[in-house]
Amino acid sequence: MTLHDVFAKALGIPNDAVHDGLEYNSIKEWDSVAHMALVSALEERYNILLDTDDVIDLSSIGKAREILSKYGIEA
Amino acid sequence: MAFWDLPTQTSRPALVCNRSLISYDALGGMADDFVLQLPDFGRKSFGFLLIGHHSTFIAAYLGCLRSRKHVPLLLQPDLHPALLLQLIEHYQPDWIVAPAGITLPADYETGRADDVSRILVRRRNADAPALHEDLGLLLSTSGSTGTRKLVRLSYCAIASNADAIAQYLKLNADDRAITTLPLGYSFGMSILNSHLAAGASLVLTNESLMSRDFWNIASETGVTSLSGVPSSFEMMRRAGLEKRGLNHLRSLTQAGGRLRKELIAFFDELARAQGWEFFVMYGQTEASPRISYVPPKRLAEKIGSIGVAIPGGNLHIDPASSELVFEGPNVMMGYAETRTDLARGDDLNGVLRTGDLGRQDDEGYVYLEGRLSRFVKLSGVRINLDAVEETLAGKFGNQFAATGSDDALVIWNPEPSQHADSSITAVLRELFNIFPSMVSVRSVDELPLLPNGKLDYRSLNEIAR
Repeated sequence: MTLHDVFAKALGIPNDAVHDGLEYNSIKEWDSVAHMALVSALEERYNILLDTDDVIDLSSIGKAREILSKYGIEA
Repeated sequence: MAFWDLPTQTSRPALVCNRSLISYDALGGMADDFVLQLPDFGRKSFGFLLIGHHSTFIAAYLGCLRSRKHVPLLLQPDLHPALLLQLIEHYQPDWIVAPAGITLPADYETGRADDVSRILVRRRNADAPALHEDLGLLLSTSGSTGTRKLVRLSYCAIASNADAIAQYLKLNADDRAITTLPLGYSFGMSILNSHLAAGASLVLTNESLMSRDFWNIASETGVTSLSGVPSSFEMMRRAGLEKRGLNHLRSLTQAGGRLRKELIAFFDELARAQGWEFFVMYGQTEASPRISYVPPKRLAEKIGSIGVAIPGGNLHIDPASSELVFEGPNVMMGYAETRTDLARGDDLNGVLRTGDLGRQDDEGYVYLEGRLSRFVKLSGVRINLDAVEETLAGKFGNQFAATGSDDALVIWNPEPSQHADSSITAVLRELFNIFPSMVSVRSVDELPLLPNGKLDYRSLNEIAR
C-alpha cells in the first residue's frame, strides 16, 4: 500500500484524486475529523507513533513524506 | 442589559478578526449599520444568516437582535447548497445574508455585496405572516441535515442563558475564547453570547484543532478557554494541548454529546496539573442552549454526570417516565415547521421535557441513561436515526436499522451481499456530512422485529453491547 493509497482510503476519495500537492482542508473530505482517521491510518501502515507536532504539521502529502522520512521511512 | 446591547464607548476588544482587534464600540456601530442595509419591510422581518467566522456576520446577528425588527435563522455556511435551496423555498425568508460565493437563488436580488458577504433580498413578500414580538432568533434542530424543524428562541431566553453561562464559568472582561465550533451551531453561538455578556472577547478563525495555524493563532492571541464537542477533545489530546503554548489558558468546556469516561478522566487530570478548570456540560438547542454543568472541583467524583442546573434553572426527573425535565428562563418558545409557526407565542412556559432519561443522586447531580427520541450526536450535530433509516431505504430500496450512541452510529445491514458497507457510508457522508469513522456497519441475517412489526432496537442494542 503506497502513501497515496493510505490517503485515498483514509479520506474516502478515489486514488486518482490524490496528488502530491493535496493539502488539508482544500477538499471537503480532508477536514479535521478525517485528519484524525488519516493519522491513525498512517501510524498503522508504517508502524510508528506520530508525535503531537507531526499531527498538526501534516498539512499536505508532501509534508507527510517529510515527516515519515524523519522516522526513517521512504514513502 | 442583554449581551447585544454591547457596552458603548468602550475601546475594549470584542472580536479578534484576521488578527485585528474590533472594539465593542466599533462592533456596535457595525451592527447598527447592518440594519440600515436592510429594506424597511413595514413589519418585523425574517431572514437566513449563514454566519461565517467574520465580524461582518456577527455584526449582522447583533444588529438584528438590537433592532428587534429582524429575526435571523442562523445557519452554517457549509450547508449543502441543495438543502439550503429547499429551506429557502419552504420558508421564503425576506432576506439572506451569506458569504460572498453564494449563488443567487430564484426570487432574490442582490441588496449589497462585498468581498466578504452578500445581502440578498426577496423580491415580493407582501403576504408573509407576522412574526411574534418575543421571537428573537431561530436555530436549526439539526444543522447539517437542512431539516425544516426550527427552534424558536425569545430575546429573554438567549439573553438569560448568556448571563447564566458567564456566571457559572466566572467569565470576566479579560477572557478570550476562540471559534473551535461553528457560530451557526447553538453551542458555538453560546460561546459568542456569553463572552459578549461578560465584556470579554472572541477570536475568529476558520482553522481547526488539527492545524498548526490554529494553535499559532490561539497562542498569539492569548486565548483563555477552549470549548469543544467530544471529537474536539479527541483532537486536543492528539494535538498535545499542553505543549501548544497557550499560556493564558484557564478553562476547557465540553458539551455536544457524551465524552467517553477515559477522556473525561484524562482532561480532569491534565486540567488539575496545569491549573485549568475543566467544565463538562449539557444542553440542547431547545434551551438556548445550556442546561447543566459539573463544577470542576467535583468532576473526579462525578464522572459520567452532566452535573447540576445552571444558575436560574432547575432539573428534576419525571418519576413516571424517568425523563429529565428542565425549567428555566432559557427554554424555547417551541418549534417551527412552517413560516406561519413564527407567529406563535410561548408554547412551553419555561418547561422543557429534554427527551433524555436519567436519574439524580442525593446531591442533585444528574446521570443520563438513554434517549426517548431516536437521535445521536455525531461531532455534536444531532442526527435523527429514523431520518437516516428513511434516507437509506430510499437510496437502496431496502430496510436498514440505525442505532448507536454519540459519535458512534451503527447501521444494521440485512443484505450485506447486495449493499457494501462503503456504499452505505458514502451515502451518509454525502447527504448528512457524517464521517465514516463515526459509522460502523454490521451485517445481520434479518432485522429483529417486535410483535407489532416495528424494529426491535433493544435487541440490536443488546447485540452491539
